[in-house]
Amino acid sequence: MGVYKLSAAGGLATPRTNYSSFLAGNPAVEFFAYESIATVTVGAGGASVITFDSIPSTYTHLQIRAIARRTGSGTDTPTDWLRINQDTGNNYTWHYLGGNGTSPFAGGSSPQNRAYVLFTTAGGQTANTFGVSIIDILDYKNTDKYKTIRALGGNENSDNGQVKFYSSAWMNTSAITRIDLDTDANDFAQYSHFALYGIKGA
Amino acid sequence: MTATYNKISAVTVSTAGTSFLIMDSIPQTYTDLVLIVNGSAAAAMQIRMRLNNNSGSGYSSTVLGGNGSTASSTRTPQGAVDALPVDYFATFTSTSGGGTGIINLMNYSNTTTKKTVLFRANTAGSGVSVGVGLYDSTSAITRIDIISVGGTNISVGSTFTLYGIKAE
Repeated sequence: MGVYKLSAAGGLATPRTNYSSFLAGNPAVEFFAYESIATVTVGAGGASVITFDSIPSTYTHLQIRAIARRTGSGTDTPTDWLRINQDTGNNYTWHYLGGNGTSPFAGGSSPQNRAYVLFTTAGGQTANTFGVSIIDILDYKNTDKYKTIRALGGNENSDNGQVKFYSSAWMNTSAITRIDLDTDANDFAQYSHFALYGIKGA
Repeated sequence: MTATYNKISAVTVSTAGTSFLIMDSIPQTYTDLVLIVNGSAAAAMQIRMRLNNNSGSGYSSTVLGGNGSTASSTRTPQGAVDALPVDYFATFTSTSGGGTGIINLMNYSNTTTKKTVLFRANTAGSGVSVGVGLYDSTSAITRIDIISVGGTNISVGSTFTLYGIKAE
């Protein structure tokens, strides 16, 4: 017995189309594990803060992929930061391992009010170069555990560079619904780009 | 809904060689590219990535690595190489089980920004490394080649899989 798709006019007297599949000519619904949630590209005026708000609770993990540059004329190799759910308490810790092309280095922090996991390029560095970051936030909606953040990133200019691994914790069991990204100095420059993705579990 | 993370190309080495075209005419419809490398070689060697068939001097990188006893960091300045080193240690050896790598080309289709690449490489037999590289060009990336250094062949069975990630 085939599948009948009745016409918009309805009724048995009106023409109908027979299909051999229950899709009845419609495209199959596809479910993807890795989805784009939101994207921000900084415009000509720069941006003081990047905000991902009302993050849906339908995923298991989050990933931020970013290229970022500061405004201004600095020539350092900055690492900037994120904050979760607008929590300004000293609830963030982090540790890092890095390399600057000459020697490895490592460090960590006692609890502070932000997590330094975002790599940016200072505004006075080689033109049109941007720091890059891949930031994973694991089990972001789980209310039984603190949240773990891991980041890999760096910046490479024509005459210097730095690469780092970060591990960070947000010591709060609340589900994450908002992430703010900010700089310690200046703003995010035009063409900086921040993309938030959701990863579904089984 | 269209797929966000999509396989674009897959190359499996069928004849050992020193240079492989991963993809030409890369679609410009994604935000980032991710190249997954899994392979081995006849002898310890480094692999490099050439972009847009450009063998000029605009490649540089900074790498952090560990070999099981020592951590180190090195830099390859512009002018020293004609392709981007994407691993520091000899990660591809037939006797150490080969190596794997994940290479991220961020905002590859953007024609305003210079191209920064983030990569990590792992080989149980020799070490682990992570690095950041610069392709000093604002051109969109349309072609990727993988080349070996020193004339050593990349072995049969090595795979290179290219994915596109699209931000909405």
